[in-house]
Amino acid sequence: MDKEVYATESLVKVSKTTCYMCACRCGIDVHIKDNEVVHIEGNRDHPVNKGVLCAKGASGIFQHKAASRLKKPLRRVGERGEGKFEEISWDEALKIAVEWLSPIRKKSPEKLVFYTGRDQSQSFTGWWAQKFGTPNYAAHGGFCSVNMAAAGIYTIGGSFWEFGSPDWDKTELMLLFGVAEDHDSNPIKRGLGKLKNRGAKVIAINPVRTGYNSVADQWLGIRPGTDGLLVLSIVHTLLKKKKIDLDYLQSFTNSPFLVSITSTNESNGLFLKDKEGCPLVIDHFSGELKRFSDKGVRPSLTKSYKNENGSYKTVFSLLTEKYLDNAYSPKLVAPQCGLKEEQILRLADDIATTAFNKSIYIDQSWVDFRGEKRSGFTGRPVSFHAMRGISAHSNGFQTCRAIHLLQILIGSVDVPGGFRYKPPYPKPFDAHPRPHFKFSPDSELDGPHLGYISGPEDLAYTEDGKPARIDKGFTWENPMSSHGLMHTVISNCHSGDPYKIDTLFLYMANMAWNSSMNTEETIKKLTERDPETGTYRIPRIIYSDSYYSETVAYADLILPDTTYLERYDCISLLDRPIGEPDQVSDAIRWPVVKPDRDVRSFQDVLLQLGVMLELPGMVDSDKRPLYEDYADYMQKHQRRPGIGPLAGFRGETNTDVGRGDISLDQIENYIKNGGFWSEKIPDEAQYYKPWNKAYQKWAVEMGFYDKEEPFVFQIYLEPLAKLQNYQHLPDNLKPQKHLFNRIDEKMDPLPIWWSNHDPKKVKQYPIHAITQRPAAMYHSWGSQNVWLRQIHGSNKLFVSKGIWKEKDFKDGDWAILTSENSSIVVPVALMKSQNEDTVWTWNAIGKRKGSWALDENVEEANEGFIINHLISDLLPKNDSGYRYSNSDPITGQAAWYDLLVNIEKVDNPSKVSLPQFPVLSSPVNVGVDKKK
Amino acid sequence: MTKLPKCEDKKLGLLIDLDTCVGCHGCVVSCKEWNSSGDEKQLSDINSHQKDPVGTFLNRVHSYERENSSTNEAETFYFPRSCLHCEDAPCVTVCPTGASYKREEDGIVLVNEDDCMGCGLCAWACPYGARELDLVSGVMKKCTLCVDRIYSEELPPEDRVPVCVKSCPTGARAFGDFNDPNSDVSKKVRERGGVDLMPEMQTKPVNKYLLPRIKSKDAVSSVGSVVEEETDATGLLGWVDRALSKF
Amino acid sequence: MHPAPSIILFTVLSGFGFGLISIVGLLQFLSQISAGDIVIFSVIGLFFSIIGLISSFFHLANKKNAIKSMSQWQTSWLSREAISSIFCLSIVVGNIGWVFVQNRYINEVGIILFLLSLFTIFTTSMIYVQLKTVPSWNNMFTPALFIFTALAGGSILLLDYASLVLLLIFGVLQVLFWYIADQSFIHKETSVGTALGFSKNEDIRAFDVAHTNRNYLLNEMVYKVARKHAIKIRYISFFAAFVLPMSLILMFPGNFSISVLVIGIHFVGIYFSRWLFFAEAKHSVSFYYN
Ligand SMILES: Nc1nc2c(c(=O)[nH]1)N[C@H]1C(S)=C(S)[C@@H](COP(=O)(O)OP(=O)(O)OC[C@H]3O[C@@H](n4cnc5c(=O)[nH]c(N)nc54)[C@H](O)[C@@H]3O)O[C@H]1N2
Ligand SMILES: Nc1nc2c(c(=O)[nH]1)N[C@H]1C(S)=C(S)[C@@H](COP(=O)(O)OP(=O)(O)OC[C@H]3O[C@@H](n4cnc5c(=O)[nH]c(N)nc54)[C@H](O)[C@@H]3O)O[C@H]1N2
Ligand code: SF4
Ligand code: SF4
Ligand code: SF4
Ligand code: SF4
Ligand code: SF4
Ligand SMILES: [Mo]
Repeated sequence: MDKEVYATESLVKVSKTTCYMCACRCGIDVHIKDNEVVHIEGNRDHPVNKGVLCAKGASGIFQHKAASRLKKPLRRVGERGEGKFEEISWDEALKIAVEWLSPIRKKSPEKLVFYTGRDQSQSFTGWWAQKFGTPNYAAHGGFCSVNMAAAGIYTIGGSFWEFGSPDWDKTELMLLFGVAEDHDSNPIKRGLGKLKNRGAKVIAINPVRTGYNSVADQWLGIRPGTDGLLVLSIVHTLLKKKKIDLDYLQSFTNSPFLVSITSTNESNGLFLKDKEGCPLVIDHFSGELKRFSDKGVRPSLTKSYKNENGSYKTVFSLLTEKYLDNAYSPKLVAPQCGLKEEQILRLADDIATTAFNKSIYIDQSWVDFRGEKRSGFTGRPVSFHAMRGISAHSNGFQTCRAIHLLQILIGSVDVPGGFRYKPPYPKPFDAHPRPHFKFSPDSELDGPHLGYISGPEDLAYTEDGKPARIDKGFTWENPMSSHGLMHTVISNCHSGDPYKIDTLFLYMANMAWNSSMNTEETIKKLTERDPETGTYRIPRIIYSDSYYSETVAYADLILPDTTYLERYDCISLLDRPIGEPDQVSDAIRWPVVKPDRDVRSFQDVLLQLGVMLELPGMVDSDKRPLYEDYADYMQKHQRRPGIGPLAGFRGETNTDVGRGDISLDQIENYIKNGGFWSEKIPDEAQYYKPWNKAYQKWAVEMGFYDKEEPFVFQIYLEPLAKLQNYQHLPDNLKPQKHLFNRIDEKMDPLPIWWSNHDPKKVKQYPIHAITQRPAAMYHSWGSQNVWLRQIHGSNKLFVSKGIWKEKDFKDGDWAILTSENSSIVVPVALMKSQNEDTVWTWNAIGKRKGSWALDENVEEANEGFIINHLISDLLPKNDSGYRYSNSDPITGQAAWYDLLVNIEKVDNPSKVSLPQFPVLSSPVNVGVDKKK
Repeated sequence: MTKLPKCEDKKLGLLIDLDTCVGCHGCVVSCKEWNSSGDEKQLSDINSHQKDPVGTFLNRVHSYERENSSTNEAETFYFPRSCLHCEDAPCVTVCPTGASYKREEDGIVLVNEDDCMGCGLCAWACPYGARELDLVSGVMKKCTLCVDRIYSEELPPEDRVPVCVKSCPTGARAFGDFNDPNSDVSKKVRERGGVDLMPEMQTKPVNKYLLPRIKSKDAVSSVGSVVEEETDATGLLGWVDRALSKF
Repeated sequence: MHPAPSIILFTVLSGFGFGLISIVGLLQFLSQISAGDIVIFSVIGLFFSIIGLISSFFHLANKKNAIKSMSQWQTSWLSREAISSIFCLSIVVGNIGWVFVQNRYINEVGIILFLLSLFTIFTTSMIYVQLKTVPSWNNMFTPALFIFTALAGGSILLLDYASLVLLLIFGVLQVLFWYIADQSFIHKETSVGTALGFSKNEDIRAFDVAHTNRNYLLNEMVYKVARKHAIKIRYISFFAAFVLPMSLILMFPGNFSISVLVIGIHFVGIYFSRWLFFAEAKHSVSFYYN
């Protein structure tokens, strides 16, 4: 008979922990029977997902039981890239690692290059690297979405990404720019569901109409890379039609600030400030110069000013002049974006109508940063969300800034119905750390690696003027590279530029395959030997993975990790937190089942290594470990007094929140609470947080910052102005000459747009090629999952109607795609609902033969493909012969979606995609079916 | 018994909103997982790590493009396909062993695996492809409407819904009694015009679908409705000054 | 539909077997056959029916429950077929035994066998007829074709000129069936539009697949055979099942060894015809995979 009742044997127990398959980090109920996971479903109480679960989360059971799981530490025995290993014991593995790392730390800690990929414990791994003393640490953010993070933090002290979200319950109009899945995927799906239910309008701006974009009420199939122009054209239109929120601009943004416009002035481009450094404005009523933040001041947005140093104009005047220029008129902009003029006008109109005719008012008094009482929260129910369609272009930082500018102009940031922060955000850029990079033998780094620069003084150069970091982060080439540049690491380690290194230590990043640009070249760099010494150019590679990914084959020492159900983890407010706009939350993972292999959690291993290397903070003065393991660290570690990795259940009674003493039952309490903790923001503090006294006070109590940090929105970004003002710097601090133009053109303190492509190149390669994340796959990991690989076992290149016709494609045809970098041969399919000049495919479906415990004949490795081969990591030589990395000039974000290609039909009787690589040997067996 | 009962009490089924479904396959995998309870034998997967992997799924999500004749634009939508628990279920009457049956008390169509001989005829009889013969266990599989959840005494009451409904991130799936005019699903069907699939097959499906809205119509707003006359830079600054004086 | 050899063999062989049995029954009723011939031809009929049934048994994925297929005679044509064929075959066995031992026969048993075996063939065909999902089967030409295919095949060994008549009827029906099928391969009311809840004439296409590999549904119900290819096979089938047997019987009337050859050729033709019967049939589920 059918099983009428679930789990008649009540042996099934439900353990509540946190999903791992993406950065969304949903709460899950893991059903366990006889120490075997039998089912995973969403945790209804969890703030992130409220019970729902995506395809990856629901198939976590195969992530956990994957055939490709590594079983024991491995030492390479063949050549790099062959995949030949011998199993060794943990003692031996740790011994080798310490033998390699200990001399480095004593002599030159910068020779350890530690990058941690899809790390969900960055505050811990960063801390470890800091204690080790190397400046060379970052996670994957630099190639992922630093444009969004940096533009957001610099402009509004928060960002799209998972750090904020539309006010799903109140918004009436939502604009979605360049999003397929996002980090915040289940909350976005839940949110879209709410909007649909309420009949609120969703407008999707995306070259491709799939997923979220397919349920949108309106779709604009924009040409890739032109969103900045579109947004500034909307700005143009709103200004022209006087549809802006003047009160908001005057009160909460730097638009009344006075900018020096006299080029001889040493402070050209900078704000007029008083001696204490407080920005000055002209009071609208008295016409006097006043501090912006003084009580009773009503700053003028328009009045200019003159003193002995020259003239000053308000930011607002500057922006008006800039964006009212006819170059931004919808008529001229539309064809460049592949849109129609009416579409832009309609968009502007929808935004204006919704923001100003449907405004919301919440009767709730609050006090602003000037100490003035306000009677309620005005809401502009227009919200925006944007992600990698914006950020993965080399104009992404400025484009993202343009979107924030648009939000600010209509007064819709952190207001009812608008975009809302998730705590611990907002936090202005200057309340974040600066980058730290000063290293010296046998000592720890001077501070945390990553942060936000305020000007040239924060750039990361050594005393002899060389980049301090191996990835050249925080240099004039990419001054605001707040997340580092993981995509340049292998290349720079290989060429010894800016300096030679010894050990490359990677964690959880498939750098020999889908997370590198120009994969073929990257593989060469990992395996190339120095002809003189005969040793590898990158002398040593340590890697931690849980599975047999392509990258494992390229490491010399493998530290096999556990799966997400077998370890402690900490989803910390010190890190990339989870949360919802109306509450603060953090969460844990804990071992709900025991590993059945000889593997260890990477965090535990890192701590063990720290102890063996006697790193400060990890051992006491007698060299005894300070923490038993990572779980112990999660409870006992303190960043600042009272502030630890976990904010909930602190103090002796486990009732303190945010700040509080160490509790040794903290984890126990998290487990009891369903694996997470959350606390609601007081009503009075819910909106207008950057300027809301009640929120600021609460945030200090919670420990997000130590003093109140009210701030204004940076429509005009002064740090960029400081960079542009390089002429006034002493010679040794000036950028190299070949960068002058680029700084002058690109680092505009007001959002601008430029085309990422030289028109000559467009002629030769007229088609944009982009990827999208499939909802049911997580990068490379999904293919080892028995269920997910049935959904996405191979990918095709989706070709637009026009191209399909022009090239006379038929179903089953193959094409050769050629870029400036190389070419690939792939199967094609027709998709009509996409931008005419664009082709796209699902990301990271193609696999290397021999990897992931898959048979070498699988579709993934034969038909499947990745387009990474086409994407160059370096741009062609510029006029002065220099090759910039293929990145945003401001943040260094990898420009994956700037790719231009040419497409031609080819005969491909073998039906195998190209290029192909030698089959990897495998330390794990190909998975087998479970038979009855 | 393969004679169809008259279901007068309850008609349980799913309401699927194609206007909201984003095609994430969450329901596909949740369904597979619940119905195999982590045991790969329950809903088998063959060639799991080889070429041509093929497994049994009770729910699959398809992706379509529809040419909008008024705008000439192609619109995409997603379509989850599972058993519709038909009132006149042809899959039941054709079954020679009596393994297939429709429950009188709630209309759920089920297969009693202990009786099934794996002839596949019921799958042929179903217009919608809602039945799949499991090639390892040799018996017919189909959506059970999660009968082992909705009546479970062990699950917390709020979880006594099909797992695909619980897990659907957008809330595009709803579960309820279509016989009860006051149920949420019945109300939605009335409000939004729920439709049957292939009504010409006369199966009288219980499950209903809500079709995607015509996008272009909704999207039209009158250009220029709120806009005021256009200004240049000086005009704008003057306006700003005047406006600020009012605050 | 997938043209599974086990199913094709089943319908062809059991059709032939029951066809033979019914002809023998008829002749027995009409006293137009010797006791010895009854035994011989009944054994042949029995043999083919049983091989057919065995081959259908191989089609079952869970053979141990095959016996349960006799339980649902009230609604299920497959169940009726199972019961009827077992019943019919038992009588055949009884008849053979009786005739063999007694060396004479009861005429009335002949008519029972005649009707029962026709009914069995009819039930087989009804398994297909009842499927609204496959319009090319869902019409009364299907049982007519099945019955006359069986009778024509069964008659070849036994009757010379009379079998020409049966063959002729079969040939006409076959052509008619193909004509009908050609009309109803096009589902009249069903389209991708109705499959998805829209109206019939929506312009809808699948741009991506639900699962990147084939699955049970596709393997079983979405079989595509090229039109050109199908026409060729129709010619072959018609030639082998009809034209050649007709000509050979006309040329060599009453020649037993030629009849055996004719049977062989006819089988090949019928096999192709049945192959097409399945391969050309379009199931409504294929609209989801358009
Ligand atoms: N299921 C799943 N979820 C994931 C991941 C995964 O692998 N699978 N990965 C996670 C990671 S690491 C990340 S970074 C996030 C990224 O999440 P997303 O930002 O959703 O990333 P992409 O899939 O790259 O989607 C980018 C979208 O931008 C569009 N696009 C490309 N160029 C342009 C453009 O110029 N303008 C506009 N407007 N749109 C453009 C593409 O068509 C695509 O729809 O997802 C995370 N979530
Ligand atoms: N063409 C193209 N390329 C892209 C992108 C794109 O949009 N288009 N997107 C880029 C972006 S934004 C990103 S973030 C990258 C993502 O690319 P990667 O960072 O390479 O991400 P994954 O493929 O998920 O691989 C991470 C590695 O972590 C391993 N792993 C999984 N779980 C664990 C675990 O629990 N412990 C350990 N130690 N290891 C584990 C996996 O086995 C895998 O080897 O791809 C980038 N590459
Ligand atoms: S969105 Fe999916 S994969 Fe990501 S954490 Fe949530 S359930 Fe897991
Ligand atoms: S959808 Fe198919 S399987 Fe389900 S009841 Fe209807 S006919 Fe039967
Ligand atoms: S496969 Fe099983 S359930 Fe379906 S008709 Fe045959 S015996 Fe009945
Ligand atoms: S109701 Fe249950 S069995 Fe049916 S599709 Fe949903 S999850 Fe699968
Ligand atoms: S889970 Fe919901 S949104 Fe996702 S495919 Fe299924 S029905 Fe659609
Ligand atoms: Mo990413």
